[in-house]
Amino acid sequence: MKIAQYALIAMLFYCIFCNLKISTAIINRGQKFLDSSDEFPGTPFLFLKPSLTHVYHAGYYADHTPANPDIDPNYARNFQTAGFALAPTFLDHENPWKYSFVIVHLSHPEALANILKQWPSRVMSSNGSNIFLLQQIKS
Amino acid sequence: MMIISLLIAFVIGALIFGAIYQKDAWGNALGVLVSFWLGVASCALIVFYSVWISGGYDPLNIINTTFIVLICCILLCYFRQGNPFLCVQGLKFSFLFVLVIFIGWILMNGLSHHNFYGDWDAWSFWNYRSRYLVSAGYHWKDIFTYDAQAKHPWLLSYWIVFGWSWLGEQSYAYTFLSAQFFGLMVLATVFISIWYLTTNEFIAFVATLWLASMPYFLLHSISQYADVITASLILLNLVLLFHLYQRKVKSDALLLGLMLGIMAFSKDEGILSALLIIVLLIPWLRKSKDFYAPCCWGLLLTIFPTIVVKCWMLPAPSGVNTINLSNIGDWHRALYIIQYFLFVLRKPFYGGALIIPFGILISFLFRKSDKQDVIMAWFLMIFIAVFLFLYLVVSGNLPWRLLATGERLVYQILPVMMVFLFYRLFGNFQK
Repeated sequence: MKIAQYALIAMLFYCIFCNLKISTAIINRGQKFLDSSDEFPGTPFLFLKPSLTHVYHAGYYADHTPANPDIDPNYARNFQTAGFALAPTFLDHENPWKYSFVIVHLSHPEALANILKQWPSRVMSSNGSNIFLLQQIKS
Repeated sequence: MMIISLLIAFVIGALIFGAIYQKDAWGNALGVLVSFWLGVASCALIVFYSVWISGGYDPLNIINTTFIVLICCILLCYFRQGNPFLCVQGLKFSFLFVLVIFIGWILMNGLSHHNFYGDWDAWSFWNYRSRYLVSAGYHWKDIFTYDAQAKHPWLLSYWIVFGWSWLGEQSYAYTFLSAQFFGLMVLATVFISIWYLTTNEFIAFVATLWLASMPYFLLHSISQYADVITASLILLNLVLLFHLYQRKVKSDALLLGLMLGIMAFSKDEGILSALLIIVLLIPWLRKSKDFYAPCCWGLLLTIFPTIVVKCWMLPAPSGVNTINLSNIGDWHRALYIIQYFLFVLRKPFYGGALIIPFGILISFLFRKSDKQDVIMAWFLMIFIAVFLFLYLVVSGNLPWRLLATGERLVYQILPVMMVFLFYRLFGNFQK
């Protein structure tokens, strides 16, 4: 029994050592990623500094002016007040602009008509009557 | 504001804890942990009842209700002659505990550069719900027209709305810090559970440090998902079950009932876990009939919001997830699922988590099982079997489904499996 206990503890210390190496590598990579960005200078707390992903969430949190002029913040806000919400997302972390979409969750039946009327060219596909992927924002 | 929210939650939780245990006093790190969860759930319930009764989100209403609940808790504690500081009475300072939580916090902070806004479901599900509730006014029920939103109960989203109400704005920092807090709560639960079950502080430290160093655990902890809450509550409820078995006190049964309801309020997997623990509890309750009533009362007090979401708010099924029972005999599918989980645990990203299932199996060569062992083993086996069955029979794209949900399931049961392994190897067995 003692042998099993010691073996486990030894393995765990080895795992902890390797894990810390991986975790710190990811942290460093993230730091370099942030350092290469001049999007948000002067953020006082390093750990609160938003990453580049900020811009893609701008529509979701519509209070912030999106970096992309294609998305009108007022339009996003109108969505919110009408009972919609925007959840922009990205699929490719390395080259996020390439695949940026806006997902719209509809909560009112008239939303579909509004979107088709105002953004006819943006609608790419839909899942039932609930989710619409709008065409890529910027390539 | 995060600290104020946590302080309010802890005070409410400590008062409830003090009111429950006015006669059968116990207090230690486990008590503090329980008080925190009671408080967090109470704050979420305040938002639920406030929105549900008044028909829409009103921050002033939530703040007023919080004061009313605080006063009610103080009166409850006073009239039951409870001690509001009971949960911290037997607390011992542990340097190793502070050290491992600090290491976990440093690593989570470092990694959160990638995940300041959390992962996909944080934007489109958990925080989205909070955002919707705050923005949609009296239309908030419209969120359930999108059937995925009725999938899981709302504990995390309500907690975020609670914080935003006190903050007066929809802050990202609050969701981010909440995720860190819940991630640290998982670490604290693992440390305290192993310490409680093995009485070996050093082993608890090593195990928790291992978990705290796992890149997957850290990144998922700051993903702002409800899995983090469920993972912590599953383990905590199992430990409370053992606590009830050991002490055989009615107040423990009431507390377990309350916590099971809270766990069910966290996620669908929480509902399953609560049902499993109830099933495991029934044989014991049949012998100890006095514990039925307090356990049921506790459960009834906290299960109501889950029933509302799962029964009354459920929209018509979209037909995306259909059950295909003919898949049961599909061995290729079953093998694919098992291979997937073994493959996941093998990845360096999981920091040697494959040791856990093999370690548990090997430990059966050395040691016989006791009651706590058997309960944890049954819980894990049924939990895993249910999800294997669901993966097997739910039609659709299996690789995608496994990719989207499999790793979250691993996260939820990883703390329990870890505690199980350490209890098998280092535990104080009770014959």
